[in-house]
Amino acid sequence: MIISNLPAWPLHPDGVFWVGAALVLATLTGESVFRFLRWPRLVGYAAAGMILAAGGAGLNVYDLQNSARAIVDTALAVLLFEIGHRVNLRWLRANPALLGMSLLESALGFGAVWILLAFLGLTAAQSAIVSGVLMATSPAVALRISSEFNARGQVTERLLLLSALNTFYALLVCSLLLGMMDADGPQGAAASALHLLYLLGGSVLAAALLAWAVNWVERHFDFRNEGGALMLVGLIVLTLSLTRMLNWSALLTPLLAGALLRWRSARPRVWPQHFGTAGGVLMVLMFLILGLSLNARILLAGGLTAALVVAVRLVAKLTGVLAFGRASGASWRQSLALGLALNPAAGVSFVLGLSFLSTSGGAALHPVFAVVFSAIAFLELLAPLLTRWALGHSGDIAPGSASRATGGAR
Amino acid sequence: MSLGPFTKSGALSIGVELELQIVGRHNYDLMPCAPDLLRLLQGRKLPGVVTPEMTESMIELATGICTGYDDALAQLNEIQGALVEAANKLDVGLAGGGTHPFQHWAQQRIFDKPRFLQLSELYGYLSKQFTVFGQHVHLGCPDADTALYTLHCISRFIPHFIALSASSPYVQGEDTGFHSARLNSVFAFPLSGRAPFALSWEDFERYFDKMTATGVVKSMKDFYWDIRPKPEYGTIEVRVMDTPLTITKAARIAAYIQTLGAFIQRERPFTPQEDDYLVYTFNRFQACRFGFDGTFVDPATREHRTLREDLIRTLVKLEGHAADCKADVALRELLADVSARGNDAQWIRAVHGREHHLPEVVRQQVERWMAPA
Repeated sequence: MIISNLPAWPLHPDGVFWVGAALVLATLTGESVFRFLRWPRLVGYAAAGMILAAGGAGLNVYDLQNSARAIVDTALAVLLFEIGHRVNLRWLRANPALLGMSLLESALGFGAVWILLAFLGLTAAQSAIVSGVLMATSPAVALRISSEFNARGQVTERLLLLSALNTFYALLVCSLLLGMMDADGPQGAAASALHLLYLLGGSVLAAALLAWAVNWVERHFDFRNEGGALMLVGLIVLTLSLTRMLNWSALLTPLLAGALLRWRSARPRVWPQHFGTAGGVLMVLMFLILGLSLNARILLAGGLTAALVVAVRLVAKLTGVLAFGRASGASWRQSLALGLALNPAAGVSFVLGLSFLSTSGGAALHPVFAVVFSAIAFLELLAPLLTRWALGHSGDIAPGSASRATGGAR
Repeated sequence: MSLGPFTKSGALSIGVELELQIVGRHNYDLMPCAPDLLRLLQGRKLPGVVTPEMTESMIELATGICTGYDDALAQLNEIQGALVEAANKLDVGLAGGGTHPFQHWAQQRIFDKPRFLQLSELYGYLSKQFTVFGQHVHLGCPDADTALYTLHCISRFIPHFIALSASSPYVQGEDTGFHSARLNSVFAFPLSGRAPFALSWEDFERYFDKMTATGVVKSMKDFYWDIRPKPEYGTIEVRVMDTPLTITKAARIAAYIQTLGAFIQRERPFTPQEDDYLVYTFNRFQACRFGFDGTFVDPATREHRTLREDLIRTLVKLEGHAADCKADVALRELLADVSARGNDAQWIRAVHGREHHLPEVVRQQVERWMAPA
């Protein structure tokens, strides 16, 4: 009988259906906010995730699926490699005030959040987790907004540099904190120090390997086209899996590899935006996952404290930038814009939060994580708007530039 | 506005203006950082001035009045030093070259200054396409009539200046086939071309008054002629050169113009006439398109020869005046360019032939411009 080949009613959509539906909703929201409000698309992606979560389709950040985690890790590896490559160490030598600015804004951000939380009754270690995780300025937001709106100028260049640097500090500080938490455990201090050394040394090694591989492949293939760029993504993903197998830092490695590549050869590299379509899809999925997991439930648990943390962090970062603004050759207007633009936090902070979550083994620390993840929810959704505004205010984004900044190599 | 009197200036003094490209260190595309550079140079004492240009990715430097080659090079050196220091602080590169090889004109931002905004409104996309970079040389003249005489005599040498300075083979990512494609952008302007044939200042004033009466122009600034008189300075301004890739070459070209000025003002070797201009645009095109290999038609004898041949002849003939002007070293170097080394456009093409990557070409241009002379 023909009838028996027809599907049974009602239909049961599989996982692919939900991924497709989520992608359509995310891109629809992203394009809408971009076109009608001239907001960054990624705000739309994250918002779509939150809407879906409110409808009951959310992810549980305390028990995140492996597939979701793998997507976020891959997206971050690509982004960190890209922003690492924007670090021009020669600039820091020519303009040491920038290094001072970077160190001060990160230190003040860390210190201010730590003091606030200690004052609110958290232990020193708990406060340090939140402060460390939130030191980073989201490289994804910095890269994405600057390319989406074709931002060009001093504030954009400095935003990318400071984002790469404070992400680097955050990764170091968090590794250190994780090591210290480990040292309190059964293994003891010596073993955990050794482990930290292994982690950092291994990451440097893997970074050198990746940089060397990219440099070698680059001599034979053109990374300016989509196909070549895909090979670059492949190399990054391979390195990512290597670092995971060997327990090295999956975040530090691509960041260092990018910086190393830039430092070793002056030849300018022009890659398609986020390495073409592959990188673009990863980016959408990452923000969607962030929105799905950092949802209203999390905000209810830690929102109030998180709001305070966000406010204190904003003031601290702004102060750090303003202190060195003029000395570094920026105008007051540019320094103000830069200080505000540095606020977004997203993927890196999210993954750092997750790594603390997995080592602390859960329940006892939950109030801290509610604060961490609520703060990230605020900072991935609202702070990009601040960055967008700041870059417009400084003149780095020209009025009306978004309409033609939709594609192509930069 | 009337033309005003022709100021007296030191005969054969020179002044050099260079328009420079500001590029980012990441992809070597143009970067709108002129306001930042100007802010960093504020209050710094320089032998000349640094000023904004039409778009925010350009900056112009100008020497003060120079006695000759050594003085011009010394002044350029000092201004370059200050600019390089500021650029390093901002992590931007500064480069010579008549065009940026792959910038997109639609992305340029007009510098926020009334005159530039007004020009931008008038010329539309032309003003953004005018993101080209030239060298201007002022030559001091003892009086207005000598200035006009010098102007019309020196017109004959315009192809020389073009071929020597040419550094704009690429436009919008394409090889144009030209040595100086920059001038093609300049020719698009309605008031470009050559100055009217007038050998006395009264005649010239009469022309200027007639033109202002039409309402088409308000001041000398509205003329984009290849050479124009600048009565406020008491100079004539040669404007056809691309910005060379180094300040040394810019100073050498200025020295060549000074030496020609000495030859013309002291020997009065030509009797300028309207018919000299019959071959003018042909010669100019040949220089833009083919550089030293272009055909040169002698305006007086109608004789055809290569531009290289005419340049070598002229440089050799000028040896005596060059020694008087202390420009002999500079002219010998130019002779080596003409006979062996080639011009900057050829250098740029050779680099691209090696690298196949225009951002890398710009990076090497930046290295050359920012290196101490």
